[in-house]
Amino acid sequence: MAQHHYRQYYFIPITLAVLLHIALFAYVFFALKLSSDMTFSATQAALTSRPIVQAVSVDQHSIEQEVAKIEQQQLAAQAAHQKAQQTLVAEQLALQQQQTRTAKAMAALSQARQAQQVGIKEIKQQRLLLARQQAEQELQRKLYSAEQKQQQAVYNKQLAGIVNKYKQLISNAIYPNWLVSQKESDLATQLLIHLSPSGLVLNVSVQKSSGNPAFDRSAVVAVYKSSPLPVPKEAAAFAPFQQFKLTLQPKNIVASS
Amino acid sequence: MRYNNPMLKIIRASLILLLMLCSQTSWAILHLTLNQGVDSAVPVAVLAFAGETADNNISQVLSADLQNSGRFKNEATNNSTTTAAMTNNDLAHWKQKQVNYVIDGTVQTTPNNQYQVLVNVFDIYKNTATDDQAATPILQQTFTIPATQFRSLAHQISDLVYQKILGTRGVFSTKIAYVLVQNDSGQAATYQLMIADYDGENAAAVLMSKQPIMSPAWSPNGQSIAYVSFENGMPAIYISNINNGKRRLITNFAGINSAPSFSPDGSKLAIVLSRDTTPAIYTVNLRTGALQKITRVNAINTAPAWSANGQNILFTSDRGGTPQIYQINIHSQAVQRISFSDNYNANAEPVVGGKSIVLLHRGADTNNQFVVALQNLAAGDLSLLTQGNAGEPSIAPNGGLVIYAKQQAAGSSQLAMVSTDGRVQLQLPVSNGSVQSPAWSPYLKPGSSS
Repeated sequence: MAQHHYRQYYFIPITLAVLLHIALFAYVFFALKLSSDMTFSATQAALTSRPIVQAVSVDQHSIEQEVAKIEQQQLAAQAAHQKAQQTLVAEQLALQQQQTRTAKAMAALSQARQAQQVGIKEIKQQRLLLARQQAEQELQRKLYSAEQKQQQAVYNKQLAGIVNKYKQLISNAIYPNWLVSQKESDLATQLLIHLSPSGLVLNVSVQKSSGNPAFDRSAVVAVYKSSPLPVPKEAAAFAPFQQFKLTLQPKNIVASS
Repeated sequence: MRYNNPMLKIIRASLILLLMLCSQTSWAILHLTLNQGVDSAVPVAVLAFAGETADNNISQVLSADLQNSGRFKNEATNNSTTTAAMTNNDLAHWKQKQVNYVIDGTVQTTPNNQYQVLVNVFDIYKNTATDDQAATPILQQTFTIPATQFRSLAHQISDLVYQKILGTRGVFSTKIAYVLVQNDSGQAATYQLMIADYDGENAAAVLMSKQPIMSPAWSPNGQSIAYVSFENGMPAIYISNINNGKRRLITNFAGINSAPSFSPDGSKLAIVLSRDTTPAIYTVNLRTGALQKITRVNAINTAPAWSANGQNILFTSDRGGTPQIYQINIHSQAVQRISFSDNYNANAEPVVGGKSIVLLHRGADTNNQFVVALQNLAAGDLSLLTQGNAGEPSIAPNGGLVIYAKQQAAGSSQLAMVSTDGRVQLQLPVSNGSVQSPAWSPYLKPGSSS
């Protein structure tokens, strides 16, 4: 995605630079061609501007001298013309070189400027992108964190609900098996119960005795007799029941049927 | 890639860790509370003891004892007999039968006509036995006794089992005293002071008279019985030692001498005398013979019974117009009325623990019949325990059972028993005659500590 971006950004300046080069080259090419035509036509004009019809009734020598003089003059003129032409060509060349150099410099400058502009733009773009990304990340993090918290809260709530439900189910399972006498309503015993994941009562031990071993045993027997106890299937919800305390105090004694 | 910031990673990791820790700690303290139980008999299986015969049927006595208490029900069938060992299969079988405890044993007769008895109590739900290993009993004991004592041994075993499983003392080795009146037509009536096992078995007379015998009362050590005898034509109070038969005259004042009751320390007897025109409660010091008048209201005051601390005496008086239960402090003589239900409440005895009393009640709620009732002292309410006409009740030392004379259709009365929760109603073996005033003994043997 980013690469695609970069390609887009470079495409325009490069194209412009290439077009500029082509334009400059074309200009220089046509300029050179035009100037050589001009030189040629000027020589032509110079040649035609001097009439050569004065050779009637002139002695041969003088004619010859005159012809030699003319020829000399013509040669000199030709040489001067050639020299001027050469200077012109040189000047032209210099100009062309100058122009090329300027164009090149300008192109370079433009390119540089463009490059600079692209660079700035790019940096700006990158910065923006980075800022956006960071903001996004921050948001994501917050969202994630909030979501996680919420999920955890929901999960914890669900877990607590399940645990509470099974606390009730376990109590409901044990109490019909707990045989007590009205005289024992003041006694209380605390047990530590180990369950297998299937609810099987693995071990029951008395943590805080009521002081009456038989009363303690009645509670222990009630728990064993209720095996297997109802337990949640989900591991996380079962975990608290793997080992838990149970305090039994028969405040409410139901008469047997 | 999204969370490549290491700081974020650390924060995230620590957050998760914190969450895990929080949830871990909250799980570690999971604590359930159970505040509901069922007041029901404990299901047990009393197996026939290996080697026992009709002459030494210990398991039968044991089973009857446990069921008489109202606290047990025997789920064993007739063909359930003690096996060599309590195996895994046996445990599974009894678990399936929902039995909490199995009691089994063996009886062997030795050449010198003694029985060697072994008893085991198994906690079915605590035990785990593998196929090649027998379960371990929670109680195992061996006894050697003369053949004649098999019943008392059976009661002793019942006490052990009761104590082991319920944690309180059983009353299977206690006794009852009562008066048996034989009044065959054409012959003069005979009165016998009888002592029997708590279940009415092994009854034997300790005193016989042609004149009325009344109100037997046990001494706290269970060695003596106080009673009223008319043997000299007028009522007198005696104390007899039940072991050697020695007797001692306590009072024979003019008028009424009745309703003796031993103080908890055995040093005094509360009695009723009518020296001053109306019957009043007195105490007599058994060492010095000193008399102290306790009640001073000019009405009928009778049937004294001591509170457990020996400071108060429950008694019946008609001072309010109808017979009701009152309590008096023997030092301050402050009186408090206890019963208020209907127009007749009499012959109260405190139940061990001090929270309730048993009494004889009659009212609209009983169709004017006398019934044994339990009164909760805090709430004041009465629980009616019996039906039909009953005589005055006597409470067992563990507070679980009440013995009384129940009037039969023919007019005579027979021994009957009811548990204080009303669950067990039991008619004891019928005597040849009419039973009066049964009195439950205290514990007669030192209790086991377990």
